[in-house]
Amino acid sequence: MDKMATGIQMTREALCDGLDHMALQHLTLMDQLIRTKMILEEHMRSGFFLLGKTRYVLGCNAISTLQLPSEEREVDPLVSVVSTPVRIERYDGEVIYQEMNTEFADPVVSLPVEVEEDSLSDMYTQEDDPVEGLRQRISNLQGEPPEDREEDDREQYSADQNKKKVINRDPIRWFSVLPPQTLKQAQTDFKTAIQISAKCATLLGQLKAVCNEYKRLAKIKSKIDNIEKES
Amino acid sequence: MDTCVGFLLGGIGEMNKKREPNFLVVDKNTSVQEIEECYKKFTKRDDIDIILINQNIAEQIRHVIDGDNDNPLPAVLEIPSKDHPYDPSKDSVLRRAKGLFSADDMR
Repeated sequence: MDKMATGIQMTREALCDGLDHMALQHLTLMDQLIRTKMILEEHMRSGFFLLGKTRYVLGCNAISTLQLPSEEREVDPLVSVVSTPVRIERYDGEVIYQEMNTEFADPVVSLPVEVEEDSLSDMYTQEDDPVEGLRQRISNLQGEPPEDREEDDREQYSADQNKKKVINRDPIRWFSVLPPQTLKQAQTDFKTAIQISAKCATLLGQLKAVCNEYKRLAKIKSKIDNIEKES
Repeated sequence: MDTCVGFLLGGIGEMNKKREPNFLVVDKNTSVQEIEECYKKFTKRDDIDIILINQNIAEQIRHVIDGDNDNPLPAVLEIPSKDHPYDPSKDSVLRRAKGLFSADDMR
């Protein structure tokens, strides 16, 4: 009976230590979350102010929801969230949360241009099959020998294949072709706000995990308290 | 409206192949039901990890946000808007976290 009482006492002490630790973690995370949200608010406020300045320069309707993408066109996001599960192994039980980070993609994308092969391939196929049809005369105004001209055409063909179409997917282009400095600065502010949002989401996940672990330990403690009262 | 414009300017906007946007612009004509339906749609999508919602708009659908505690993802972040600064006392997560401790726990 004494050994059992000692065993319960030690378990209870360990539980109380764990609960204290969780409570402190909980309060620290709440504080961090509020502070991070205040920093987010500062960046957003700065962004709103710069958007207002841009409206003053470009006009009221230049920066509005009218420029946002409609259902008619497909738009890919330039920001992706990478979430990785993190396990805190110091405590008994599982305290798991998702650590979130943002990745910004390059808005400038180069896509290969499809080359019109018809005219060039016809010339090559005619060389391979000289029997079929009439041979197409190729005018030689520059006086180059025919072999050199074929090489030039081949080079032109490979150069055409290597040509790429550059597309700029930067959302700043929705609002203005030549965006003013205030709009660029607003974009920087909101990009920072997006990164801070990911940090807030990580803290939120951590806080939820700590809350759940605290509740779990509190339940175990109340069970042990009930056993003690009965004994 | 400015929150949407700002964050979309940052590059988070998407219109996928099914013509589904990953944002909703709330104005005076947007009903609470529309906001609720949009919120539920976003929570069901597996390609969304973080939902940013203005705190004043979150107040309108508080009953839906509070009822959706179990899933860690997507994370629902209440953010300030141009006209409504951030109030930690109204934040759903912080309110729940504050109510975690009771007098019995301190014995």
